[in-house]
Amino acid sequence: MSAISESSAASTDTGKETTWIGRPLPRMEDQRFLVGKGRYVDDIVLPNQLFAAFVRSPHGHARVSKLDLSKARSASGVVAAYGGSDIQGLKDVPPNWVLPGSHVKGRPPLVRETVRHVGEAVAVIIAETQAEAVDAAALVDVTYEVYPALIDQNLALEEGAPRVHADIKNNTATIMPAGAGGFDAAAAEAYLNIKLTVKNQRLIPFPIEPRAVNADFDAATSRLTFYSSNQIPHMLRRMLAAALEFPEHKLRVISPDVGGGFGPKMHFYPEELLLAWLTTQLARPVKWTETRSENNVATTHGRDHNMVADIAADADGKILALRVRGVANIGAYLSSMGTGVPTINVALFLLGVYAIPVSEALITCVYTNTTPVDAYRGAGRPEAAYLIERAIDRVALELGLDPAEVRFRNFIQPEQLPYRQGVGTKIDSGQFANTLNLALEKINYKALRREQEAARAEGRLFGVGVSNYTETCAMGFGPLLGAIGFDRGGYESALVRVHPDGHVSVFSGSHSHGQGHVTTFAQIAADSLGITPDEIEVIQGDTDQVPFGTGTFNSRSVAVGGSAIKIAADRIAQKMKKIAGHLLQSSPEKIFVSQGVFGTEDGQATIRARDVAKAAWTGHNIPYDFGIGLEETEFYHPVDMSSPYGAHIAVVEIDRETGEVDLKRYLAVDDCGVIINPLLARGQVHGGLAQGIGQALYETAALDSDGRPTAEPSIPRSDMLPRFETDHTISPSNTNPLGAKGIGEAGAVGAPPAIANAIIDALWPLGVKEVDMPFTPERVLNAIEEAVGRDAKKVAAQ
Amino acid sequence: MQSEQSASAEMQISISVDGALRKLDVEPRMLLVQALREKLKVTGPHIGCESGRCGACAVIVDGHAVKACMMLAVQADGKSVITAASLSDNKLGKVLQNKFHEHHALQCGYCTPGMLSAAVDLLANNARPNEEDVRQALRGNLCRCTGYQHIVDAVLDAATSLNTADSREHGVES
Repeated sequence: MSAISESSAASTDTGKETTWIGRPLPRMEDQRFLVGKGRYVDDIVLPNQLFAAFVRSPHGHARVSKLDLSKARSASGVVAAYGGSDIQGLKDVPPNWVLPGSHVKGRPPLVRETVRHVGEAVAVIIAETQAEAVDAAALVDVTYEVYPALIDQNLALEEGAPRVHADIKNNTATIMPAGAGGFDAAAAEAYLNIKLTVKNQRLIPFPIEPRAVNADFDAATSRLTFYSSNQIPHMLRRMLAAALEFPEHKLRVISPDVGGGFGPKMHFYPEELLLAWLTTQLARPVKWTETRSENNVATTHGRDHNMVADIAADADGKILALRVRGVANIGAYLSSMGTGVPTINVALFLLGVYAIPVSEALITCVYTNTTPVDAYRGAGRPEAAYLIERAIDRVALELGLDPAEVRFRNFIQPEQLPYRQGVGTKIDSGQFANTLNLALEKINYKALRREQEAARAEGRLFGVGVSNYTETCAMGFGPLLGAIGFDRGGYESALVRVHPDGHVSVFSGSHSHGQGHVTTFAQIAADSLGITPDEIEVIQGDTDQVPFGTGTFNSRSVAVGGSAIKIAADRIAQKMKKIAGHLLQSSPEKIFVSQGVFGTEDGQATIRARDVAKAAWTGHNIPYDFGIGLEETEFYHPVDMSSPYGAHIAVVEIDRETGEVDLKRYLAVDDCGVIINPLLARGQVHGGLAQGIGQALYETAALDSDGRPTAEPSIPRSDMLPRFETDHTISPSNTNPLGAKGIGEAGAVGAPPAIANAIIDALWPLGVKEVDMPFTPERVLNAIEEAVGRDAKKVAAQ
Repeated sequence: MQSEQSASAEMQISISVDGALRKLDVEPRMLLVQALREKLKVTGPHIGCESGRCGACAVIVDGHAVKACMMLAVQADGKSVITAASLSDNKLGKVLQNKFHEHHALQCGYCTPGMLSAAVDLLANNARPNEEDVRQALRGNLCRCTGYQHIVDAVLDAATSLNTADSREHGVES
């Protein structure tokens, strides 16, 4: 069968052939990075620069009974030092996504009295040099009255648990139900009923560049220029302006090169509010670059969601009903999207790509004495995919059916699309059986099952795991976002300007932190304008240059930001054809553009794009009512979101003696709709897989009883990952004019369940039914020994 | 008190950085990466950790890849430091940069200068590495974006391309 079953219909609707969309063009932005000339926030040193260093609590729960800044204030080079009582006028940093009915506690810029998580800032020192700021921070005298810390969200929900915030009962920030209910009635009729407990452990996102901020208030112009390593410059400007009560039009946010984002750099942080305030007080630029140990505790964490599922199925493995109870740890305060990610982003995807008639979910978000938890690559969809994909496998294994076959039996069928699931998600498109079939064929699934049989006969632990994740990307539609309390727009901006010499500037409200927007966006505009990408410059990350945008997250940049560019550039192309038609004495409908030349249908008369552009900007030789200029702005606002999905397969062998997992193969077949640049799309898949495999096999932010990470996060190294095998099917999305869906997070969503399923598949004959991530040798060995021991006890009892 | 004074007393050192001799005054405690970034404004080496595990600061010191956060600036006195800014001055560096570009071996670019330093060191010492050699040689450099595969492919392709060029040159000579 063919991998590509539908053509890229999206680009043919304009009647134009795509020349650049679909090409694996190496990135145009690479050069500066290759010669070490990338410009990240820490590379920027302003005249009169001051530096900030923070004093942070080593305790998860404490009262600051004494804070003495006097020694620090008199230390060499120190300009100022502040504790919580010195910043009375500053509000807490508010969250940006507040589910209706939530109990909100924002992040204080500095601890006022009570410390609620390790790493919370108690004081800030401002000095002439970085070293002086750090030296003086060590002279701050803090006395803590230490209290027991609440770390585990399930314990925090228990009757009589101490409160993280005195006025919030049961430590509960929000409770969200989903689905129409009716589980018990459906389960009573079912052939098979299973209870499944799964945990998505807490993760440290770990961009290699930590956060960095440089805030520069110019008293002469009353303008504040704010550099931040950040994914969402306009949103940050809005949030910062509101919290600081600073006029938004005088606030310029610049996000230069960003050394990896992965979610945590799309939030508004206490340090940002504080530095913005400090520069207005000191009238000098103030810079802070996070250290890695600060990043581990002060930048938001990801996941930390415990779930229990009840699954009811018939004898053929068809799931009849699913009930999920989730308890999500949101940390000590609500970070930007703290209540939204564990609820909406999880509940909506709990049914995967399956037609499950009865569903209900209840998710509780719980405050604890831990670093706030917020969006991290996948942001809720990995938790959902992990649950439903483990559930499908469990049904298959309990019934002695093939897990792939059980997926075919549960898939939403093509004729059902678009399909509204019981939890509210609308799946826009997909060919789920085709995609899984392609994956099974590519990895030679039947042969793997034979290999497994042979391995088992030899006593080896060999497993194959499938996952069919789905997610929703290309976040859009403002009214819907408003209804769920997400204080952002659902659009993206583009400004396309053709200069008088024919060169083009594209300004995008989306912002790259490694994805390669400069290249993919230029490819999109090049096709619309009939020129080459190298004649186009893409500009992003500066609120003074770019029209108000939304930013990069939710794998939305191509589908929403790219569509905005396409629409704006198409409008300009129409105007250029009109001008060319006039100049060539032909009707615009008969004008074609290719390789920077406009011409009549018969090819008799031509004019260069630059001459058309010059005519547009001079107004010479064109009718007055054509207007001046070649510049279009588009705020593209999709009504619906897209549903990327894929079929991933992992093959593992487990060492019975050591518990070590050898990930022998990993195949990802993804459907992200129309692909603009296959080389860059593959890069996104690989990166997502590395983080998904990292979660499955290595990573955890395990905290001690005081809330401190017990070890440095085990970020996968080059020798810890397999060679990935990748492919795509293409089902164009009908929710945007490019037909694109989103690919940035797919690997992180699909990999954990594929690997978990492979491991449980390998261990099933020993009686292992559940193991939690990360699948370290110790955990796998414990699971084996517990299962074998349990069996031995059973035998002895008989 | 005395120890504090001596800690902050600056020392003059000279380092050849990207081929230019640079004289600078540094505190004895200053790391090489800080001296490069803060004193000399050479910002290719990046700081990504404080424990020596990320490798974003790796540079070539006297021909070997060194994590510039694990070396004091005073230890580099009299030595030659090559950063990404001058890697293209030699063929090995230039080919690696080109192959990183062709294979999409960089995304956010933050680890790239350090990754290139490690790759230069590898290929200078092992002209025909296999995939496992490359993965082992790069294990001291963390990348959170690429999943490493494109980086590994770029290094392997660079080796092949350099070997082909070498054999061609030898062919002409003989």
